[in-house]
Amino acid sequence: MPQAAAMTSDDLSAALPTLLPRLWRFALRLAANRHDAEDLVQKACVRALERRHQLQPGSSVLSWLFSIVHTVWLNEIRARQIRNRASMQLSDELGDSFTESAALNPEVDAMHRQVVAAVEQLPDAQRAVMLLVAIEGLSYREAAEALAVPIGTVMSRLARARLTIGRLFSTQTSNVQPLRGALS
Amino acid sequence: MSIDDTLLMAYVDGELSAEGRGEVEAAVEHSPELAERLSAMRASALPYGAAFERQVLPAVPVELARRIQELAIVSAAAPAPIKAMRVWPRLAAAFIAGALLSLLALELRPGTGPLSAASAPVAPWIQAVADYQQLYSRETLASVTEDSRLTREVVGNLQRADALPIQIPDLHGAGLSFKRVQRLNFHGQPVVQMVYLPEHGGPVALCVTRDSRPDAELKAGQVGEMQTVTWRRDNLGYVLLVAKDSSIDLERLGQEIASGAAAALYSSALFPSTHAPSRPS
Repeated sequence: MPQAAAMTSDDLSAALPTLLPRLWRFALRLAANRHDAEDLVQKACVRALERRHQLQPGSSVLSWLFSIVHTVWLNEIRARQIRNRASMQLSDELGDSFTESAALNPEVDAMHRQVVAAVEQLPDAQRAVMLLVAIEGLSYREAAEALAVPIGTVMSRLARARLTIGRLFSTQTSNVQPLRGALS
Repeated sequence: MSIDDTLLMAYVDGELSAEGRGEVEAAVEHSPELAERLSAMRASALPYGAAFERQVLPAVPVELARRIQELAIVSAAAPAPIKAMRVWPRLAAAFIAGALLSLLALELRPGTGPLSAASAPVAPWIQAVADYQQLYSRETLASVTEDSRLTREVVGNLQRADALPIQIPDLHGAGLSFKRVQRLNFHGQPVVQMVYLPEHGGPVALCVTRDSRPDAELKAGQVGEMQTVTWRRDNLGYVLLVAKDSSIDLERLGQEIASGAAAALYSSALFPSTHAPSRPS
């Protein structure tokens, strides 16, 4: 019974505004600029509402929405960005802005900035996995759903991304002590 | 045992059993290359969450939040199950008509001329569909191929379950290709959205809902970034929308549809034009 299995209109209508900040954050980091992120979120929300019947019971609404954001980004926004190299990078637009804290050790502060820069420089497929798993906190299974790839692919992309970042930190930041076990 | 990067990652993240850890450690002992990869993997155990948490991102744009909120209200929904609706079609029709009477109380006031730009308040449902339509770009629909089976199903449900005598106007003569029809909701009431794509430029939408007030002539207006033409005929309210920078002559198109000059895209045999739903047996 597809109708019985589908999400009700009230469920998604109530969830969308609540999840908007997370969709925005993900879109902003994927698209790397505000204009494209806004376009991306709008398009993804339209698609989600049109296809709400495809959301299966028991599956995560957030993963499903991330998957739509990611698909729209891959198929429309990224293609446009490739065509138009003039799009600004997030880091340029925001001037590498970070929250300040007097209590923060300067070395940790520097390390945080390097971590963000390292992730932003990853190839798109690896960056998307890192954003979902290490930053948004999705499980491997949820990330696999969101990216429409097998779990093994998620793990392999994540491992390659981690290896790249680890090598960067091993050679460039020998004075920074990695925080073991702090992967979130 | 083959030690790949995912296994090294699991080792570093403490996700392996004692046996698995032993195998990785034994392999690393005999391979400098593996030891280098393990060292890099260890160095990659970084506080990603904390680092990104400190990155200052722009807040959700107010306009975006407003549009998504609007979308959540005017959202595409699956056609109502026919079986449930058949039990109470007349009651439903009466209820919907009553609800819309109050809903549409803010509808456009009569203009000063037949097609004068409206300055009166915009009806909530028209404001909502205009906001919704603004999200449709040419790219959104360019890859959509009309699904005639789905069109028949949606229109059939609109006619039978919602008792809306909807036909899809064939606008090929005006250079518009029909793309799809959807049943939208506005505060629980059905709003039909028919979308067309011209050869160039953004899409054109024709939206229809029940409106039992007296017939009204065509009236041009603008809602946000959309130009509109509205009219009422035979207990239905219509709005035709296109982006304000479009070169399409929306008024002429509205006249073609309102006058019945545009034929139905599918024959009436496919969509029996019985306006009143059949009585429950």
